[in-house]
Amino acid sequence: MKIQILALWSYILFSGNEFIIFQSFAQEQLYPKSIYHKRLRPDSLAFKELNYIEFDENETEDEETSYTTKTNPILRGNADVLVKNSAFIFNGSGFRFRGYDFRENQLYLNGMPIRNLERKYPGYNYFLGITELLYSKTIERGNNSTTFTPGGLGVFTNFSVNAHEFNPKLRLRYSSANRSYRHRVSLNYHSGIGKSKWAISNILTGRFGKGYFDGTFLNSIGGYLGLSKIIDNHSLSLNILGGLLNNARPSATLLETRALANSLRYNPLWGLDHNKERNSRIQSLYQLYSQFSHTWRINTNAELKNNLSFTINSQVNSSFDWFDGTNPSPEYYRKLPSFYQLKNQQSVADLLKTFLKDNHNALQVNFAKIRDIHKNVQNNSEDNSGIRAHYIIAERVVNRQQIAISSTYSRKFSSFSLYLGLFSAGEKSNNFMRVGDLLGANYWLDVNNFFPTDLLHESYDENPEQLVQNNLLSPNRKVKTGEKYRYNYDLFLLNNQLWVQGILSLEKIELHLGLSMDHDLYFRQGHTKNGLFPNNSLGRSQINNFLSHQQKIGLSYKVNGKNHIYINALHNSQAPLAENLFTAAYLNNIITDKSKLTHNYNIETGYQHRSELLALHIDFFLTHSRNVRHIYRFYNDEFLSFGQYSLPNIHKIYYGTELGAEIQLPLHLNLSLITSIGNYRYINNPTAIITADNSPNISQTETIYFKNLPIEGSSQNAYAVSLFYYDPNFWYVGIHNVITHNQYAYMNPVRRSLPAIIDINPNKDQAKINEIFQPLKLPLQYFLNLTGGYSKRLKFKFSNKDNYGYLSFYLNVQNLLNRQNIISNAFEQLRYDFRRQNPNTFPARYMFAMGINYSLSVAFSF
Amino acid sequence: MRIFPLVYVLGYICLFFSCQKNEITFPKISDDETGNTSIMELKKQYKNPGTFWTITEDIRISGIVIANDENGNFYKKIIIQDSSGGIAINIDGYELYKEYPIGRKLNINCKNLTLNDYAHSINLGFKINEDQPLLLPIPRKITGNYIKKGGFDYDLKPRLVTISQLSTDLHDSHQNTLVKLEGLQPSMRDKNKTLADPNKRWPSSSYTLYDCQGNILVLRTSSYSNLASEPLPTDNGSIIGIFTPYFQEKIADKAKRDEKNITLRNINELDFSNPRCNNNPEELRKAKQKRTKKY
Repeated sequence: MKIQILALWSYILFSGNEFIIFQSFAQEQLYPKSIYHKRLRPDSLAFKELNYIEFDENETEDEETSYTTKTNPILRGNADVLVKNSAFIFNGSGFRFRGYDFRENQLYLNGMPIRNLERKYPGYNYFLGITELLYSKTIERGNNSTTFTPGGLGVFTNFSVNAHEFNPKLRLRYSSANRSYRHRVSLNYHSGIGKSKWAISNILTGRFGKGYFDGTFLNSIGGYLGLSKIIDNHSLSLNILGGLLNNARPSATLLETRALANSLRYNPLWGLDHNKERNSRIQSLYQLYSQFSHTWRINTNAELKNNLSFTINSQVNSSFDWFDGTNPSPEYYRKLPSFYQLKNQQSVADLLKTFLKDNHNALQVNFAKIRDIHKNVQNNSEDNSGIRAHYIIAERVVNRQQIAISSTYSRKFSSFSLYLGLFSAGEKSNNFMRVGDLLGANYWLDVNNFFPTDLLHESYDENPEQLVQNNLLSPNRKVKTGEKYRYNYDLFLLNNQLWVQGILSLEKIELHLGLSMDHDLYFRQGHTKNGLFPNNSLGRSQINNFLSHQQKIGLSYKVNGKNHIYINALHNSQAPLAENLFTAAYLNNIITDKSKLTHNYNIETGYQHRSELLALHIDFFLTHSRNVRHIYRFYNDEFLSFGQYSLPNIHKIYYGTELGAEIQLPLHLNLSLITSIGNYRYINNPTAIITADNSPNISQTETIYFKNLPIEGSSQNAYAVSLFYYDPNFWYVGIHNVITHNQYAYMNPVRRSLPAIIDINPNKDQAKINEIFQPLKLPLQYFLNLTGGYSKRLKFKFSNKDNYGYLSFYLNVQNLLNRQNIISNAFEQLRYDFRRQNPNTFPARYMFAMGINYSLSVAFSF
Repeated sequence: MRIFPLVYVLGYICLFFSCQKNEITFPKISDDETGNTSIMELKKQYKNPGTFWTITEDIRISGIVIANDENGNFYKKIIIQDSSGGIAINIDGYELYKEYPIGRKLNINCKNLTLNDYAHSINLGFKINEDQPLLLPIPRKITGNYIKKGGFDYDLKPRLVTISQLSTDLHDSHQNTLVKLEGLQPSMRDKNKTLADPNKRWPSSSYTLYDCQGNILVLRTSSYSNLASEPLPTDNGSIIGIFTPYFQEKIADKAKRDEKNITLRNINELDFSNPRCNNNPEELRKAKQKRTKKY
């Protein structure tokens, strides 16, 4: 019981994708005898119906969209936490729990982690929009005592999805929205567990339509099939989740192009192709996840859970690829007036500005021009093989297969609880590029299209013909649509975990202790022999093993019935992610220095008060992370090539305080306040190891001056005030005021190094140096959001028992004030103009939040 | 036990009102590095005029930038100087002054660079063609391999010299250094002229400057420079600039062969506001030359 209460205190949940939801306090825990509670929320089926449709879309399919504009996620508390005052939504803001990387938070399905091993993003994409499955869940803070996970710095969420846990129900739901899609249809059938002890569940969900921003859309189908059988104290379940997704997303834009386009929905990624709107960047996903679970309730005090899962996942991201030409993006810096302004050609800049203002098509991708280029090439071509493509739509494909097993054993003694767990997963991910569309040409030549011939590198005189080959096994290959090119490699990953946790609960004191061990293994298997890296691109890389561990301890003291305080401490080490271990997995087997693991140290203390009218929770936390790794990949103007800055030793500190308060007011009103005030920053000047894709010889180091700069991407301060009204007649309405600030644009490490300012005289122009080094602070974001729901019991019922029909409505309106220029996130471009030492040649890109946007759901169930 | 809530609430309030500071740490350019060879030692290893000497050893020099292309009077070159002497470094590119401003310390890794002279003025550059060698400026993209940039604003005072202290010798210690000469005046024939031709009908202009003893120094200014349209003063005064020899081997007449040139960096370094010499240095010089011819 105590554990549950502790768990419920984890009132702040944020999903892995930049949303936060402040999950408030579990009311029935807070107000066990509260008349308010009873009056406000009778445990009626009508209100329960609302639970299912209050899940708005969470656009979490894509782990890489951490940068896109989000609508609200909605992960509601468990069924009884209910309603309304418990979720505050930071619409589209980049709030992350305590400023940590999203990957500190993980999702579990029936006690088993769901994620890929390569990037370890929390596995929202497994659900493919089937939000009904997100309804029954447990949220735990990883540094506290936990029940299904060894924990960690972040927040851990376990979704319990089993056919037998759904009540018998047939539900049809339709939602209309103007966010990333227009329509959503969902059909649920749950048989419930009958006399046969069999249960079956089916959910089919489709989402269709254009998105809020120009040129975006989302079409997806997701299906769930669940089967359960209960035999005595065993329950066996099969859960199959699968579906397809096709999504064109908006891009971060330059302020300059957005202003020229004079559109708040400007998106540079699309253009007209044969008079049809076409987005150059589309993400497609195909996924099939199946999980077999077995739960054995050995007795009232002991339980064993076993899971076995298989995942097949294919992700395709399309974008332009080109050679011998300029970037086809309309935002390419040489196509913009600002470029001419920098060159002091004001008249050209003005002319171009006028032209672009009058011709908004010029601010979109010009497919017609690409097709024209290919036609002209044809005229000049003497080769019989047809037109060599200069521009193509390329597809980056990742095919993953994963098999995983997990077991969790829990045992309760009189005042002691024990949890034991193991998890083991193996994954193969095949990565390659593929020609998606030749755009009127006949073939693409598979050679290194960024090979700089004008550089004077000594080693290049060996055999230039060989050096430009992407694959020496098939040199100068002519690639057709659908064929692979450039790179092709497999990553093999293995993760084993063993953990144990004990919780001792005495009258005044509760103590928990947790330990876990992790083993990670990665290696790469290259299928191409790159001309620049002939000796370390083909074949198997070295095998990299990592052993990491975690220990945590916590003490909680009950001052009296209403107040208690606690203190928790955690230390863990973390293996590098595969994506941060291989410097350039798409090219070679080279790995960064792997001798140091990341270490995290966390301490937190908190105070909780609960009485009939007030619930209050204050905590303070301090986290220190050492040797965090990050690899920046970008076009490096110094080497005229794509390249990497690998930072293996970033030290960070996070400290701050969180507060959650909930006050029951008369007249069925409920007021809540949530704040998160933090200070997250870098505390050292890490070393960057600089490498370039066009030369095996370039490898230099540079100090990156990050010390004291803020950790970017997440607002460091966030406040939410909400007021809800619950009507006894099964409807409610609530407003949220959400403010986030102290958020900074993602920083370019190049700008914080000596070469970036080497030609600026600090005695004369310190201001310019400041401008280059100063992080870009985003303006304060303010949102006013509204939610409301109503559930009506219909007069008829279909089967026997209490299976009444219900009609439910749920409305969610965000940014009610329609504020149009809220910047939700920003990114400094990683390209830097060394020549002019000017940060404005490649200015920051911005993501904007949507103006007023809504989602309205209607559900009919019986 | 009521102390607990109070402590936490107070702690919260403190943090709520605490403010964040971004104290940026800036990189400092390290100036500890010094070369292993002085500029004069390097130049002395270049012995025969008109040859090309590609440096194969680890020779590093260090010096302060004393001239660049800021006013256009130097083209694709910068000049650095240390206590022993100065040398011109040819670099391909424009706006070199942005990277190599006057007063900046540079460390040059000379390995693989080539020394050559132009009329006894020694230049460091990049050699091409083994058969018919040519000294090219160092390509801009690879300057980083050879030139390491140091700190700014080193104050290098010009050496106060007289014309007779300067020579056109290959290893003259004042060659390619910043010098100041006093008591010079142009010829009265050059009255109402500009330093060079702003219309660029000819690439550069030369004016003879006389001291009161009749020694001469040639002021050379590029027509492409910002100084081209500046008027040539008529009074007597001082000049600060870069001294370069212009040794014309083919001319037999020693007086004409050993031309000493000075090149201005900016117009403020030309300060001709004193009264002209009482005697006529031009006449004095003619008389001197006649005397020389007699012997």
